Amino acid sequence: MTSWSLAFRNVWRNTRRSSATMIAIALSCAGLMLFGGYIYWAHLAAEIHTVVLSGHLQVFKSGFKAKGSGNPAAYALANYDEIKKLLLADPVLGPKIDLVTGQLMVNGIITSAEQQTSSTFAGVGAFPDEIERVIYWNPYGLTEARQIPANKHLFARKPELDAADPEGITIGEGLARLLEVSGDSRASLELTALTPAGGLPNMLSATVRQTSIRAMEEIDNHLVVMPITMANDLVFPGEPMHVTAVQLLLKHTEDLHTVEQRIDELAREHQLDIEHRSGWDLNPNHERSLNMLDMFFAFSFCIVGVVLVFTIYNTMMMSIVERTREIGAMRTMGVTRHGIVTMFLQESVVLGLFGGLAGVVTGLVAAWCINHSMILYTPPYFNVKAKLELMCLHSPMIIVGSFFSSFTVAMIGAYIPARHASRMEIAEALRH
Amino acid sequence: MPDTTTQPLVRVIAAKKDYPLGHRIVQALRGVTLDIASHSFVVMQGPSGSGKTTLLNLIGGIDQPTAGSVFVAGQDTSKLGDSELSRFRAQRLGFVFQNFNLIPVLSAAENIEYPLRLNKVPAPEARARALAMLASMGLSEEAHQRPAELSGGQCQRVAVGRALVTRPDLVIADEPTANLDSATGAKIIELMREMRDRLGTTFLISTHDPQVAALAERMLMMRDGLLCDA
Ligand SMILES: Nc1ncnc2c1ncn2[C@@H]1O[C@H](COP(=O)(O)OP(=O)(O)O)[C@@H](O)[C@H]1O
Ligand SMILES: [Mg+2]
Repeated sequence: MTSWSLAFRNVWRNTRRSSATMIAIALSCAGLMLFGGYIYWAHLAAEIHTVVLSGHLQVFKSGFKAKGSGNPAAYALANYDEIKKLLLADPVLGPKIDLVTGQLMVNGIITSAEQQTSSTFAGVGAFPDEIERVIYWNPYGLTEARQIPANKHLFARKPELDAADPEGITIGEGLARLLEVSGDSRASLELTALTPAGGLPNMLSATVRQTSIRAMEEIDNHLVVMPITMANDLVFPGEPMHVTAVQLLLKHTEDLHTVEQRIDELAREHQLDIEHRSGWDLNPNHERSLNMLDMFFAFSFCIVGVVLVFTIYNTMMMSIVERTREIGAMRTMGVTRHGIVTMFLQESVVLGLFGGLAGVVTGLVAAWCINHSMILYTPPYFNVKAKLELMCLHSPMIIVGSFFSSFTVAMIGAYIPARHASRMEIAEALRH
Repeated sequence: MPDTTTQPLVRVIAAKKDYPLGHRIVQALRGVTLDIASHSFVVMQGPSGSGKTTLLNLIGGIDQPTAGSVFVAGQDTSKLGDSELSRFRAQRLGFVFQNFNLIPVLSAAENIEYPLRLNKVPAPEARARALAMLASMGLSEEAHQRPAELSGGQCQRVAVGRALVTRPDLVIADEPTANLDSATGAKIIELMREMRDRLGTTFLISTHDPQVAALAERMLMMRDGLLCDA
């Protein structure tokens, strides 16, 4: 008979009370796991959405950050090919880069002569094929909005751009609604934009390939995706290829900082007149929403912790009161105060261990059920449904952290009663 | 340190014990002086509330006198800290209670092993000694039963075994027969006598059962917190 088997038997002496305590520990653990799994998903989703919107990193002409967005054409880079080659050939950057692509931003007015409708647009001239790799970047295997049946009709069924269709553009679902054109119509639209050369605005005709939804409503209502050649024809007619931004996808997001530093070095070495901004810098709202979510998590964690401490405290106290005479008798046999504390803490370890393990199993089963039941909701700023996904298995920290948190909290809850038990007067305890 | 072979095993000098009760003070012991020789078999009688338990607690080092002093085996127990006193009890004393106070989740054998394990006796030896102790008390059959499955008399015999297994100098038994019928109670006292004869352990037993008193070697009478040899 060891002190552990004594603890084990003492725990099972009042089956109902111990089960209730373990269930409390298990539910706390499972709750933390599920919430943690959701937070983890939210962090991944925010990372993905940031990269989808802006890439990991964009390289601009110096000054764009301060003044460029009002007149993107004036801050366009005329040396896209040179920069791309330089980045890919660099021994530090090359292996870390997944894709280098370019975008030319065009703002202007889009008109449907047929429908007599018009709207301002925010245009993106992009390289066919490459743009697909950016907007469908999903290295973590999250369920994408376009994979959800409820959203499926909103998304492009074919690539947004096609090199074989140089006139074809894809417009946002919201913009199509404003212009009263449908995706299948191959409707002809006129794009008008100012050129940096000055003079009259330039105008081009384009054909709607399809409509495609963008998750963020603001973007969806103004978006025109066009081949980069078309965007150049519109803003820089007769000039060499210009881009507003050189966009980078990295193989691993963790490399971002290293890559940024290296680009600074390269710019200095080659005297390039460039600056760069990360996707996070360009889309600060994601970070802010995550901060809020993390706060909720911290609050919930505290509430769960406090409730659990009191639950354990209460059960331990009840058990100690019931066993007062027994504790007194053990003390007469020579068990020290320390020995009494140890005995109750060992019982708490048993409770915490089994409760925690049950919690991990419960959490995993619950997460599996939730992940397979297609619970949909619309996240803030979004206009498409997202699937509720709890990524409890994706980081060992979630399981280990939830387990140890509930376990530790159980130990804290047991400590005060254990100390109380150890400080009882023996004579009093025996008269109990 | 006084020589314990010539000194009495227990020496109580002018011990008083006051308990605060509301704003009154209950004088549970009003100046008790007592020597108990080694190997003796002492029974203390007295009506309920006369202070028997209080005196036994002082001698057992589980309570401290308000005034006076208590020496056990030459040791002033009030001078020991919690862990020294715990070790002292584990090695030198055994306790038997009115309501047995066995550990309910342990079998008879494990209950007897328990104080040995507290004295750091290795598990196999502790097990062997516990089983031998049970055998000497005719409880081999019940070795693996838990207290709830044993009769009152069997429980009290296990408790006596538990008190004796560490070979203490002194066993303190506070009304050990009060929860037993008189025949069983008498058998428990006989068992204690037998153990005293066999092991030389000193016994100090309180009771208000005259049948038990009949087996005493030395009789003490407690009345209103004062002691008189009968
Ligand atoms: N913890 C206590 N608080 C107050 N009074 C006590 C306490 N313990 C014992 N007493 C009182 O001390 C007296 C002696 O009690 P006790 O030693 O238990 O007597 P006995 O064991 O002979 O029945 C009684 O009057 C009892 O009420
Ligand atoms: Mg009493």
